[in-house]
Amino acid sequence: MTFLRNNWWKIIGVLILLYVIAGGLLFEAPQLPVIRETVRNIYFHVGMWFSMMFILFMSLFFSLRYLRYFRPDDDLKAATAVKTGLVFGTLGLLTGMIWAQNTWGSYWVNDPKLNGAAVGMLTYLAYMVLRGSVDEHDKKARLAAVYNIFAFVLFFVFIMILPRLSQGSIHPGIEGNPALSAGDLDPRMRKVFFPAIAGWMIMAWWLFRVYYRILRLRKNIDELNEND
Amino acid sequence: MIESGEKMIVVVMVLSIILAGIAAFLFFLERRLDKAEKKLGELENQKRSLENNDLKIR
Repeated sequence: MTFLRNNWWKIIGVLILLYVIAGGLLFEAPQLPVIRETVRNIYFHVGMWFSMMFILFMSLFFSLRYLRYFRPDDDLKAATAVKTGLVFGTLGLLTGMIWAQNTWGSYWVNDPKLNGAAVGMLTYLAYMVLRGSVDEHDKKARLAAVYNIFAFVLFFVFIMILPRLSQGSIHPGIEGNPALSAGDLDPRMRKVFFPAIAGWMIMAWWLFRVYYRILRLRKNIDELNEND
Repeated sequence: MIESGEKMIVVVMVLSIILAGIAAFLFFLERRLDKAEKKLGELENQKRSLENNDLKIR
């Protein structure tokens, strides 16, 4: 009973994703020209990408909170959230590449949206490099928190604003909010798509929490050893 | 249902098993973390009480 009380949202997340896997691959989907069955990738690719955005937003929140109160835990949470976001970003890129291969005939095309996504992720990889290059903990935390704000803004410029301004992207959903606009998504797909977004976000949050607890434990053990 | 329904069911089963495996692993990790955090808390308390005793003796 305690297990259920503590883990109900994780169980719900897993059940939702099991439904998404089954519904996403077996339910009826619109047969669009060229895209055909690959349209089902939207449940995975977009879901993972939204989860990445959610977890990167949380990282921004923790960084801002760190700059307000200077609590080391907030810095650790921000860094963990970026790492988790990068995992989901990589999964999103991989699912996107598989889709591109089956639709456009190439894993990567010279498209402003795709290039923007790659550069956006590099911006966050630079965050990790920055953290690794400073030894002093307070200085590292402050620098990383400020850079994280910069990275979040840049990321959205790269994936949302620049591809639209360039007007040369062939990526679906470039005109509006991808898959959320009324004309973007077939009504038959909504019963799987919206749960998919929720399921992937729950999974991302769960992964973030576990990873954070591991890093916090490691840090606490190190501190205990240092004080001995 | 799509044409290659049977193949898709196999894919669904494989992906579901992978997801269930990941979930089980995360639950297992959390259980280990609970135990480790509890043990670390005990060690910290022990250390604190030792330090307090040390101060009293001095």
